[in-house]
Amino acid sequence: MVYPIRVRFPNVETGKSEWVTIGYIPAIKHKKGATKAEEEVVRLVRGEVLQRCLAVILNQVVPDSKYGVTMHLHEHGTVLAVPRIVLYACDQPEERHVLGMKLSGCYYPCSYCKEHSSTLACPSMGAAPRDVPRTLDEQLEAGTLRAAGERPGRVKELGDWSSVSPIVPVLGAVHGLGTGSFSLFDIFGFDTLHVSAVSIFLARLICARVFLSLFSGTFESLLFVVCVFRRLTAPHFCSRFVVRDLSPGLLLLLDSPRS
Amino acid sequence: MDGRQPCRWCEQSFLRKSNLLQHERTHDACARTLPTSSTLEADCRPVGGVSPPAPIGRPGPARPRVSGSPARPDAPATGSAATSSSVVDSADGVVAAPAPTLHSLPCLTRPVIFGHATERVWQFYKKFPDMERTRLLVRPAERVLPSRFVTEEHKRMRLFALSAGGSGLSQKGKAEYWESTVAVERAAMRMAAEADVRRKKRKRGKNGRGARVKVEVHPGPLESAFPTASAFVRSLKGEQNRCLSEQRWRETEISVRDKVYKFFSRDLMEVATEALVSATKVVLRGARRWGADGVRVRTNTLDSDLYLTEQEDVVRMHGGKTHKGMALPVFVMGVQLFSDAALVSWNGGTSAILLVARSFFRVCSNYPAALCGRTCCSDLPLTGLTDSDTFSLFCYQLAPSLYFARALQPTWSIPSGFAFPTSRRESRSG
Repeated sequence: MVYPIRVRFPNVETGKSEWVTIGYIPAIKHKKGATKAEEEVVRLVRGEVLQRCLAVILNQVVPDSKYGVTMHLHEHGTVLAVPRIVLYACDQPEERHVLGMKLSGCYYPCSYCKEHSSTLACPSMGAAPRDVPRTLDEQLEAGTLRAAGERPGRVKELGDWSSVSPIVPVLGAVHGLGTGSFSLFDIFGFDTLHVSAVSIFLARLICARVFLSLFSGTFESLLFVVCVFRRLTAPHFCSRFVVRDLSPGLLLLLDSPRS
Repeated sequence: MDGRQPCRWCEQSFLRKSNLLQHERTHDACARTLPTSSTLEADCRPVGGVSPPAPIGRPGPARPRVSGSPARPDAPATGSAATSSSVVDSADGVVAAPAPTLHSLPCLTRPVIFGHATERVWQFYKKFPDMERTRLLVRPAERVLPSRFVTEEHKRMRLFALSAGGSGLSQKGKAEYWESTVAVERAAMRMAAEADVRRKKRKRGKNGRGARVKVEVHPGPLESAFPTASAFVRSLKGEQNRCLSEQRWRETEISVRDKVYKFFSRDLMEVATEALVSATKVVLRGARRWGADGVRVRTNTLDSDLYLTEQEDVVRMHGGKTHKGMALPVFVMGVQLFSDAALVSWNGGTSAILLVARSFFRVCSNYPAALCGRTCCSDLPLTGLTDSDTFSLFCYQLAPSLYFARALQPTWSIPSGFAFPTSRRESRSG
């Protein structure tokens, strides 16, 4: 079983401007009745295969993103094109896989910032955004140690420290993501179909807001009640929705003064 | 002494031998990651090229190394601080190591890695022999014949046979498709031939009646091109090979933990070059857009914050280059990737609830830090209803039904391919 990876070039206005399939990534699933340890192994293998597939696809993009490539266009003549990845559309679990981060059971489930999982559904505590070079360094160290079969304690420590799995994200090798503007964590966007899949959770929040607005009309009361509600239903909230599906979206929804 | 064993590279000491060995592996890993030109590596280098290195500044017999060496005995001396500070005993020619200083220590306890993270990540993946194992899916030895589907009818038949039901007809289905089509074609050709005979004027014979003209039925365009069903099936197989060969699909065997996974791919830069060169209109530069009320407007990728930041970065680095004496325009070739491991967009789904997406992105777009800069949001055609209208409509009409029914009711469905085409759409375009 495979699943496709597609590419699109927004500079093309008239011509091949649709999505073009450039690869079929093997989908790896664990067998039914697998133990936790076997599931963990399969998860690591899946992440490694995904990264190496991306490395094959990006084999020429990585050097070209540094030096550029000349090409002759009909309208503009000879130009220097510097490829830069500006969007990776996927869902949130795949985002975590591509970035080489843990999907669940970690302290920092947000890929964008280092908001602690205990404060995810609360108003933002002002967590700092993730540092791209530092995260890559930690992932490199964890990946190297795991490949050598050494120091599992250190690998676990790194995983606890920044919620990274011992998988090195190959997107960090592309210039512009791991250098320059360091936009490695900014390029991810959600597919509309995936967004609609989490609408039940959105509906819960919005119903709560509607209910509260009938009485108070203030957004602060909503925050308070949602936080209390979250505390009461923490396991369900965290593991099912906040961590896996919509951690940035939830923060946005709660922090946005407009909403 | 309290029985602790000191590390010969740093100031730490350990009670157990195993802990010491594990700690010394850290120095070995550090030495492996050091580049040749690094100053620190020069500090690690043994004085005078003696190998293995003597314990620096520590009395007692030299302990054998556990594994590897942080120093490179075969490396040429570069006049480093360690070399210049070494003292040669003229009596026996033995090189005395300098006293240990903080700067002459080969490594800290934690591995210190040099070089940019980008380069190290790429070097990490260059170690794998994946590119060496990559080969074209259609080998050059497999001769690719020119296409026999030349007429418009043939091309339509090819499209149907290869795309019906998503993945095309089966082998038996293709043969049956040929047989049924040829049966219809033969009947039509026979009718046409008989009509021709009737139109022809009979030659009158002696008895006043002309001789009966023989009806000659010629094979139709399909039967003349593909005389048998197997020829048709074979040609379709050849079309598949020809298409894969033209698009240069590759096959890579990725070995992970003694299991081999096959990965089929195309070179992204080849696809990009083909798309850009064959395009009739290419936009090289993005620009910020402002609304009538002075508010920043983001409508697509080319005016998103991320693209504009990259554009400034690229122009700063590559601007001013020339090609054959002419100024070389530089532009950012934006690349958008889309993968869907959950196969939500690949399982034949063709509609999504617009309002959910609209409300989500509208709410998110008010937040300045994160999602508003994401190009996926800016790709959505968010026009029409205002924020409050969309939000209120969603809250009062859709949300309760979603909450209680726990199922998506497609009250207002849109084609999901407006942002990300489904397989059905793709097969049509192909």
